[in-house]
Amino acid sequence: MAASLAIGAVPLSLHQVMQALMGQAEDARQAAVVWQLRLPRTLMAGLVGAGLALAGALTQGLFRNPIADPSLIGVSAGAAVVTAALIVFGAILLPPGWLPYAMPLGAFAGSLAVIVIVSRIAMVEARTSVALLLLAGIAINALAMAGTGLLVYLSDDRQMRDITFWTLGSVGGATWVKVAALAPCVVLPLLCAPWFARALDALNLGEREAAHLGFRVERVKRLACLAFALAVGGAVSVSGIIGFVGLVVPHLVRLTFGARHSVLLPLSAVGGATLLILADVVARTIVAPAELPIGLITAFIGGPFFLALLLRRRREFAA
Amino acid sequence: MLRRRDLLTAALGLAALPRGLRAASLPDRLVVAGGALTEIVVALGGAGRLVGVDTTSLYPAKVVEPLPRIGYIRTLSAEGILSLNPSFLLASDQAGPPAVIDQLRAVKLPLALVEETFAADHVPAKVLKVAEALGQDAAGKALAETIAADLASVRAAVSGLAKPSVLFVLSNTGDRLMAAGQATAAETMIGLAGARNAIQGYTSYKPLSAEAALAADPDILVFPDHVVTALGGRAAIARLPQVSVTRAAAAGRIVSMDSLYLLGLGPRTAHAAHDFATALHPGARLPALPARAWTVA
Repeated sequence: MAASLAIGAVPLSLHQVMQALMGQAEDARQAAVVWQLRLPRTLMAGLVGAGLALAGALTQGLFRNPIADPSLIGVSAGAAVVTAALIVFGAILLPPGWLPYAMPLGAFAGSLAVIVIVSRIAMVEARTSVALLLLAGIAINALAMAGTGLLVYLSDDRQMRDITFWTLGSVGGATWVKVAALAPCVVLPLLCAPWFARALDALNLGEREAAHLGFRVERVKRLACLAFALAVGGAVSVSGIIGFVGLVVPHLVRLTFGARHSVLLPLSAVGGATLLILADVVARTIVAPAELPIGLITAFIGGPFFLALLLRRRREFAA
Repeated sequence: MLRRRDLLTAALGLAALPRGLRAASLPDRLVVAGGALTEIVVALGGAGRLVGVDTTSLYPAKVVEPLPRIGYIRTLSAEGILSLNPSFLLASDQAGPPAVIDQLRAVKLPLALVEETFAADHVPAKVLKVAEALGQDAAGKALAETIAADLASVRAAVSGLAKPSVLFVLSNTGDRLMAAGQATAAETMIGLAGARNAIQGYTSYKPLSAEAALAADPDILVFPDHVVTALGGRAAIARLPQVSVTRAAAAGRIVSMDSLYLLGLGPRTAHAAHDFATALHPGARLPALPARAWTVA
């Protein structure tokens, strides 16, 4: 966090940053850079990273599937299709000035809608089928991607670029309002984590086994879905699509600290926050005064890392 | 004597009035987001004040190449811009994302957003807006009037000519061609040059199918220079399945131009329209436009 506050395109020493934080900056612009740009941005990157990694850990536990991540069941795609629709038609449909507010709300609504649809489909005789959930997610994913493709076709040059950049993710537009809106979406699920942890551990043994151990499996699944929806919806709505955090961070934590969810969930959140704050420092300094989309950085870090992980554990897959 | 002094005071008073609309002091460290705006700033003699431009600012190359780049016009970064220690940001209303513009307002960077449209007559208006923001109203008025006059001469020169139909290809992805529809800079320039857009019925640029090209059956095909190179020359273009069926390809009427010059909608627009019209009406003798300082860089 200190690095993220101290490093940026505008050269400020750690001392100057401290002065700005304590309201003793020599120059108003320095104070503004720290208070209006870097601090909300750092907090937002942290919250988004925590939310995505927590959601990833939840889905992996819930689906007992190591490659589950928010994009897999179509949640990010649902947010993307609504955002793309707003980028293309928002200027016609909405009064001027509403679009900046409508976009995060729309993305949030899009991801929630996908989760509701998918979990409704997966509900058979009052029980949620995990396999059905995944497959329905994949179908919704394809549908939403086609919708986004159609919107890209309808868009003009500028709108198309806006859509592309949104799908690459950024925390560059961070404001205190967004941080305040996002905070409960991430903090609430995080606070519930200890409560999920033991149930998810039990679910690893199998649903029936968990039920025999006295867990109310259905309720856990539904609440975990809700927590997941809140965290992912919040994160996607303010930052666009940032891949790989939800997939890689829980794996890293699991490899180092074991698979117990009481450890995995909170540490994933911490790890996700750290990774995204660091990735953002890279994103905004490497081509300064311009900026790289953060989704590129996480994918460039995440891709090779994940491959290395697979190579190391290749044996287990053969067995 | 007294009267003259009164007039002088009144004139000074008037001159002082619009100050409030401008940057508090003359911006000596200027960041510009928007290719046409950068051209206007340079045409107004502000090249020395530029400290950063966006990636759509490509002309004049001599001026912009050494400058730091603040990224693509739609993905600006607030802190990146501030790191250049600017005293003023001049940006197209297309600049964004909106959140970054809000952030820059929040840190009280003086900035002006200039509306950009596809109308040719909007170019002089844009010049006036830029000049006002830079506190150079007199120079701006002169530049705007000259451009308006040059545009009027081009219009007059092509007014009596028959209007050929033109299919404008903006870019290619492999051999997929993107053709200009309505609400594009290409259509504006086609109209200015005394021709009509063969493609009707959609806005922006869309992939061209062989059938759509045949239905439009243009008299002339227009390609940017770099696309002609990428596709392997005019002869290769005439053989492309999407366009080979058209009258234009059969007659070998393929025109190519520098797309930045042709589509910039900046101070060089009238001269670009003139050159374009000359290429589209090879039989006609169009009177040349006077060379201007901003068209010879």
